[in-house]
Amino acid sequence: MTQLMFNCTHGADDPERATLPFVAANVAATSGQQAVVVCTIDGVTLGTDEGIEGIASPQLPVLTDLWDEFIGNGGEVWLCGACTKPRGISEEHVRKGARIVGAAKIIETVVMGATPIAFA
Amino acid sequence: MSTTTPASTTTARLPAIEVVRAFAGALAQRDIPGAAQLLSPDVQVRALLPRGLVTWSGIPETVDHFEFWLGRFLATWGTATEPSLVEDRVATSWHHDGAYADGTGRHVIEQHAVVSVADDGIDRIDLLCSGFRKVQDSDDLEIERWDAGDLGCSDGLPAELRRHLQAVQAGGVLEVTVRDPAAKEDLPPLTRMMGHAVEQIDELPDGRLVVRIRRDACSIEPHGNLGRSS
Repeated sequence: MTQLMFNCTHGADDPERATLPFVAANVAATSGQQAVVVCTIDGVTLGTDEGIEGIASPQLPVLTDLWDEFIGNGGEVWLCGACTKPRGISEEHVRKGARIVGAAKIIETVVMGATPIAFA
Repeated sequence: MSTTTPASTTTARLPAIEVVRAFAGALAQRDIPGAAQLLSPDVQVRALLPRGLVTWSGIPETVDHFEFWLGRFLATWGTATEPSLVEDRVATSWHHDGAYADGTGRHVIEQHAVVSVADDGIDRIDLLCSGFRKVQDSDDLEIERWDAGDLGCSDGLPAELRRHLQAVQAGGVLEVTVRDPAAKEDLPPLTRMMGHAVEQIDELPDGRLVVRIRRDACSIEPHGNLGRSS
């Protein structure tokens, strides 16, 4: 089983770029790979109920539904701590399936063999 | 498809003393797969341990023994002596000094070996083992404490962690208290990547974490190279 990391840098500012990493990550998780969506910059807002609500891009799944399916398939969502802090997002705001991590966690995961993928 | 280079390929045409130097060096680095590559499939081992004489043969059982002994350490400083020829055999030794994985503190172990090398690798090891010796004053090593407050990865946590760890003597303990959510996730991987060991993580009622770190004898230099502790 390979661990794959999908970077997501957008939130409601760009629904397509916010959703596509989750589409790809869910494919990975469904096919038995370990998949993590790493949210940075505005992507960290997706880790809150308020931030993800209503995000839907034409021809793509509604993001809240896709999130739930992805987590149900064993996926994880990591929110960059350097990006959550200035946006006032703390642990009590975070949705089920997500957690706040720092760069060291991401770096160690890559060093241990995970493959980072930029899909949007 | 095999991913292990057969010993006959690794050791072919190498002088016996070079094979043994590589073997001892691998064990000093706790590189058991690397050491295993230098063994003959027919390797015979006689080991005099504190509990008595033990004998076994073959690579799998040899690997199991070394993994059991050296895997007991969370973090360690290993060294190997320069091998010497004893007519048709080679004498060497290796030494480990480090934190025990079960949290019982610093231990050392030293093993001396006289080794025979055949065309397909090391085929005979006669080994004398000190056993695991607890360093008597290791529990007296002062515990350094650092409250990292709200520091996170973008606020200088990695640099401050390195600075505090380098101030701890080798084998000593640093207890770090963190509040930032990213720091709680980052401290263990930062610690591991710097070559040290996380012994324990406790959560306080207010949500902060206290991470107990055992400092290895090696330290990470700013440019990423491993260096001896000062």
